[in-house]
Amino acid sequence: MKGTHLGEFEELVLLATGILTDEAYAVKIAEEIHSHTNRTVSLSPVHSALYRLEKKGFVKSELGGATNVRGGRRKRIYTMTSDGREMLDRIRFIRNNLWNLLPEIS
Amino acid sequence: MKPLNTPPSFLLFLLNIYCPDNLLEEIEGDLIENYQFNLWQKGKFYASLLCALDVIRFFNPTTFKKSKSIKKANIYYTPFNPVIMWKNYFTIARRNLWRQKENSLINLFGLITGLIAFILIGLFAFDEFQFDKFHTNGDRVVRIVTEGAGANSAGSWAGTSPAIGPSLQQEFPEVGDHLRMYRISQKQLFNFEGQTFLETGGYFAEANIFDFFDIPFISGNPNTALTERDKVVISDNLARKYFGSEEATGKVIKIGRTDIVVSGVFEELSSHFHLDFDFLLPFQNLMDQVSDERMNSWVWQDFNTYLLLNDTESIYSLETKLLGHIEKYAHPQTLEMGFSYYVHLQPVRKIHLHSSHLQNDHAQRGNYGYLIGLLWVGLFILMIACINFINLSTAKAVKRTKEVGIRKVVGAQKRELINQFLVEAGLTVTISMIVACIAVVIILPYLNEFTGKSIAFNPFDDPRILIVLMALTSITILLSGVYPAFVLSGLSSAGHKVQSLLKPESKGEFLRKGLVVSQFALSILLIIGVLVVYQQVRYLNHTDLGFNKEQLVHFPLKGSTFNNFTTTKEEFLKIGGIESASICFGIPGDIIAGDQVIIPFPERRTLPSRIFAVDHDYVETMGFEVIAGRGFSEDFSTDKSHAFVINETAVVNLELGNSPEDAIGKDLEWQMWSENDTLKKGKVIGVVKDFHYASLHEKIQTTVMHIDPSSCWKMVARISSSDMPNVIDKMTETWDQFNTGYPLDYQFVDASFGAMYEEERKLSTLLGIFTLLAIAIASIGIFGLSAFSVQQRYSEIGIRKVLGASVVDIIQLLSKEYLILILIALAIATPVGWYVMKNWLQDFSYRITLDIWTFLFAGAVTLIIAGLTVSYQNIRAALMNPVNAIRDD
Repeated sequence: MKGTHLGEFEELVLLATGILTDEAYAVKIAEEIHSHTNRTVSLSPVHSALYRLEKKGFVKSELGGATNVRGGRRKRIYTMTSDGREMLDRIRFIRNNLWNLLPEIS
Repeated sequence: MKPLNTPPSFLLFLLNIYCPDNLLEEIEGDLIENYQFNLWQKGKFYASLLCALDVIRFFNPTTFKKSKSIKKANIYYTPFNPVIMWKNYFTIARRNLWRQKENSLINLFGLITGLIAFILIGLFAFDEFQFDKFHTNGDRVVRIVTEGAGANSAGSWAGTSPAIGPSLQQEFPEVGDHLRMYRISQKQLFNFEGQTFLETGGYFAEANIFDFFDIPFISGNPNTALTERDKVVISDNLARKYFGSEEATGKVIKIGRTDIVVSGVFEELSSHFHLDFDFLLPFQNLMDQVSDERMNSWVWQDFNTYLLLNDTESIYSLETKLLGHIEKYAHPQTLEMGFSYYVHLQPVRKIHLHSSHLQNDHAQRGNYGYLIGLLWVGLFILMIACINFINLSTAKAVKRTKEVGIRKVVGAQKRELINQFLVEAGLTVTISMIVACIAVVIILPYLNEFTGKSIAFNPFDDPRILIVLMALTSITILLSGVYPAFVLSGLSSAGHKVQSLLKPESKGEFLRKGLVVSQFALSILLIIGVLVVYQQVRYLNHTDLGFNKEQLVHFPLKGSTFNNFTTTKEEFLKIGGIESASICFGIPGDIIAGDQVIIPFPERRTLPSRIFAVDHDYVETMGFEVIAGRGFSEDFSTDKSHAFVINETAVVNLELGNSPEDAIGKDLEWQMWSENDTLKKGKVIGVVKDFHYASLHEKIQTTVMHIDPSSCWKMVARISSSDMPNVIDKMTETWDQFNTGYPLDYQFVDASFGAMYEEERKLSTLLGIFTLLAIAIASIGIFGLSAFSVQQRYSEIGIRKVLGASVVDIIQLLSKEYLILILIALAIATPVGWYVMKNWLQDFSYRITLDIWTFLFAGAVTLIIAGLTVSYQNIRAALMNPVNAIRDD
């Protein structure tokens, strides 16, 4: 595992990968993020984030089937690893703790 | 199946160029899929645009061909055995160094001289920063310095009044202790069993001086050494002079007429101590000689006062608090005398380098501005040498394309090529460094002699020096090696080689020219500096002081010569070579009294003034030019008691009229020194042209001369004979007839003036040497460059000659570019030099004006030197037989 730090965008990508259990590849992940956050997501940052996540060991990938829509090119399908899941849990745990400490706005 | 709508093919092609192969398929697939979706939703134009944006954004480190992570994935890449490769780098570097002898010699010469200069300057600067670092309490000791306030008392001085120390200690809890010291300016006659010498360099010091400063004792007890009035502490040097190998402590020595016990002997003072003395007398001794009233004065500014603070932080807060205290106690007394002042606290460690603005300071002083200037010069020289290396290496890059090409073909990566070229730079720099260190060891004794320091240089003794030298080596390697390494390793194996052969002006050409310009700009800057400093020093030494300083000798009167000075003067005037003589107090270049005069009419005012106590022959002996009225004369009996002669500045400052003539006959009063409460009232009888009585750093102030035999204790004589040693011999004979018990202690006025500009003279010498070095290194650099460019254009010159170009044409062609570079350098260096030197000249009240000729001369010198270096190569090229050049092609 290379570094445990996760950027905000990386976290989104990782979450989206987790949600899309069997069809998680860049285009679908970008769509998923777009539909939840309504921000414009272009492909290259998603790719970069995925490569980084893979290097950190949070996702693993394999080349999947080619479709006509893709002009015969195969897609790289990502699945979340147990490390990735653990990382997300940890982030959530830390966030929850911090939220509990935040004073109420009266 | 419907034919697929794909994005514009050039976009995919673009992606192909930079995207690594293993990622290409999936990225392309994603792009195409996205394109379909956008096409269906938003139309063709929009889909293409989005795709194009995506393609552009994929141009980033993670999805880029040469990225490191991709390289690791490349199974064909296996790193070479590093040990073997490094061995190979060294072999190649050594061979290259040897093969390109001319080139290597130029580089070595430049780097060696650059490093020598830099190391020497660095050692000197380091030593200057070491002053007063060794005192145990050094961080808590401060010196009080005074800054005059108001129009009549401008300037800062190191002296303080005797009252300030005790007063501050009483008032402020931050002050733990105070130390007052009073420098004994008159020479003291020491006598032990018939050995008599005049000794200088003594202080009256309070007994706690050894708590303030670390002065190790050889014998005696520092705690009690200065507690009683008839004690003296002497240096090891003095102890050996008078007592030889015998124990000095406890011996009785005669100082003046008093028997005094040697209570301690201290080791030779550290060369990094700002004070320098040979003996210390107890402060009690001084207090007994001076009335209590004077010891409580806030006006008498002749004491060095140090404070020992309770903690290091309170310096700045205390300084602010002092303002009110000074206004309350000092100002009532000083304003009565026509001036006022405030004080600053100066940390003892800053005294050496940060006191050059202070007057009346006896500390060993350096000059911070000069030091920083020198450091810059050292850096400039090293930079010029590094630039030579960069320029020559990159210029020769074309020659090494084959080598780089072959290396790449057999599998060298960029990283390895960079390493190889860095090793070459490293080897050159390391050799230079070793030679430079040896040279420094040889040169250092001369530098020590020149600067009066005792700097040691032994890298194996002092790990700090070793570390600094290693750091300097690394920095020099990086400065000179990194850029060429990148340029050379970037040469491509095939494609670029053809290109570079077709177009010999490689990419580095612009940078190279820029570097040559900066080399010469720096050299010109140094030349301008040298010229201005030299002119100013010349001006200082040769400017008209308002009198002739040559052939003037003066000495203090002692014993019987002092008691009957009329007889003394007559006896001395009998000597053949003495033209005239005067008994006086106040000789240019010597101690000058600062005092004040009173203008009684129309309203009574007290103004500061320099007071010269003289006799009737003074004005004539000194050769001052009387521009209004007359000098003192025996013919007027009132001259002795009721006459003043003033200078031009006094006419203006005392507001005695618009012209010197107006001042004649005006009233002036003066508080007598000899009799308290007695005013000497008189009239101005003459005005002399302004003359310089102090260094040209200082402005001429109001000067008043009057006849006052009771204050005169020096004699000044004008020698007419050119045989000075003979006259001095006769003077010594005459002096000895008086049996004063003192030797004749004479000084020359021109020598005192010369000594004032010692610092400037040394600066100009140093600058001169370093400038020569800088020019030599820069010239040899363009010598190498021009040789190279001639080589490059050999065929071109041959063809031009065949087509009928004359020798002159060719020389013009080749020299033009350097001419332009130097003109640009001149244009850059001139304003910078003007600014820097103008600032430097601000230090002098009397200074030269910068003229355009200095700058033109600097430019001309550079042009001529550079022109000669370049034309050696160019003329050789222009005279060649064109057949030799073209035959091979």
